[in-house]
Amino acid sequence: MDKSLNVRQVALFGVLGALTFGAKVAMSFLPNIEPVSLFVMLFAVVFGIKCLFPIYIYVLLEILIYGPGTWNLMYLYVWPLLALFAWLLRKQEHPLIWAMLSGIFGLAFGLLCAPVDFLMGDLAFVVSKWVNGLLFDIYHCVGNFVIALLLFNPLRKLLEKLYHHS
Amino acid sequence: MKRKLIIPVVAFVLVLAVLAGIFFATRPAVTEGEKQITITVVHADGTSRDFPVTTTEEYVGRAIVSAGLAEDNQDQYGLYLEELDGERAVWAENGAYWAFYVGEDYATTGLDQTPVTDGGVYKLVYTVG
Repeated sequence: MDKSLNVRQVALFGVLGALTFGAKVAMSFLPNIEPVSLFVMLFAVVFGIKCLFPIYIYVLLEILIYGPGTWNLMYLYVWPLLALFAWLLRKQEHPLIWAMLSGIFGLAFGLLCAPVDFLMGDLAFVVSKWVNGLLFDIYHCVGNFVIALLLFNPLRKLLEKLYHHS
Repeated sequence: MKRKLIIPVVAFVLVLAVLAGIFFATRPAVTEGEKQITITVVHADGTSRDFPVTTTEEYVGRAIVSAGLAEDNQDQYGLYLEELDGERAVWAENGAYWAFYVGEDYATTGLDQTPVTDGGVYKLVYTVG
């Protein structure tokens, strides 16, 4: 696999990172309903290891605009983790598989934030914060499930066509 | 649906149901009737002011608003405080916000999810970043 970047890819990944951020902001009026998980999975299956470029451009934009904090520190590892699982499942085509991966990621989001929460408190604090946030994780799960069920396969086909045949 | 997908889908739904059950089973109970609480506002310069509040509200956020201590400013996660006791903390302006404590402990629930307890002390601390 060619791991170098050409000019077209540099431009494309920059635009996709910005598009991910813009799409998240556009949907930010909905609690924990976000398009980022969908985009991360798409980037992983279409770009492979190079998905890290648009993912970290998105994370960089988050940090530059909202400032560094515990709420975006976990972005450094949660999105690549989702990308890894998406890449492992890249041969799967059934929309339910992608909906479940995205849904499970949403449901586990609070738990995935736990390592960073240890910076603010002890185990009791971390467990309490996770349990109290479960309702938002469930919103996140349902939102991710529906978005991926409806959009993952059509967007995957579109992105693969544009990326490999342009 | 393919047969091999049935087990993962059922497992997924079960996990979702179990976690929803944990959330609702462990959710703090609300207290009905009149409660006496104290809202402490800690300003950017470190000075603080106590506001004794008598309320019938069930959650701290509603108690703060109905006592007239803050405006009912809602975002996607519920009540978002901007101005308290004449001081504004606006994230978009300088990264400031009102950190919420129950007693001396940093809260693990938002203002709209934290039940009012009779005699409770709730602290809002001007915090940057």
